[in-house]
Amino acid sequence: MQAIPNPNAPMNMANPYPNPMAMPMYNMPPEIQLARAYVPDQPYERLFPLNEALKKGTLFPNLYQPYMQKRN
Amino acid sequence: MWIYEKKLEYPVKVSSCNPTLASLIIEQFGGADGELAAALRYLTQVWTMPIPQAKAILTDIGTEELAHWEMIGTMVYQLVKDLPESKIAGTPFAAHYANHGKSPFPHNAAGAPFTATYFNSKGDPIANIYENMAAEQKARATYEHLIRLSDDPGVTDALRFLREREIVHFQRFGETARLLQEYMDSKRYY
Ligand SMILES: [Fe+2]
Repeated sequence: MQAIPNPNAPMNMANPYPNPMAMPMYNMPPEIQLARAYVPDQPYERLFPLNEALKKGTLFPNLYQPYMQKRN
Repeated sequence: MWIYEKKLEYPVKVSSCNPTLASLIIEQFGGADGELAAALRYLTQVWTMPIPQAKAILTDIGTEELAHWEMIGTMVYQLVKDLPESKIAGTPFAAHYANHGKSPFPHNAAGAPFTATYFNSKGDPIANIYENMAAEQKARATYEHLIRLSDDPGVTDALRFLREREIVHFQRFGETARLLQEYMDSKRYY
């Protein structure tokens, strides 16, 4: 299990963003319209430790979608 | 104005001398969906974006794409720098060498030189942001092709990093599309 940084902790190496809970948490807009593309807003959940984030290419576990190569 | 850091965004450790792989990954140095096209596309679109959040995200991501271009150029060079000149003929890198020596140059894997026709700036925020979302998907797809073609673990590692960045960028442009749509709706009256 990864350590989950406390989002309200002061800015430091493990938690580079102070008070991220101030970010809006809404998802899709209340009124969806035809002929438009929508991407839901990313919920702010937790962070990878920074050394791991660099290796993975993102700080955010909920955005980490690694390429799974087919074996043949 | 830019601040420059004298290091790569992600460390590149190429494991082999590999002119074949160099001539393939150069697709992302000067190809249609490569890092140079991405950087110029986003940085060119900044001026006509109507809201500061969109200007900021385009400047941020356009800058990062330049850092990715630097990474790809570094890999291309590392893959050929120790190649003896006597061994270049007969490799897929020979045609590149005939013109550019061992210098990376922006052309695609098939040798077509880079051109600004690979991207657009329409002066229309919605058209632009959708182009950018598509560009991120095309870059992701190209990285997956290159990961399948790569037989160098160090190159594959960097390609995986770059591919994940395209996913993050798609999310950011998607969030920006929503802000732009809301802004355009608030301005619209007939
Ligand atoms: Fe990108």
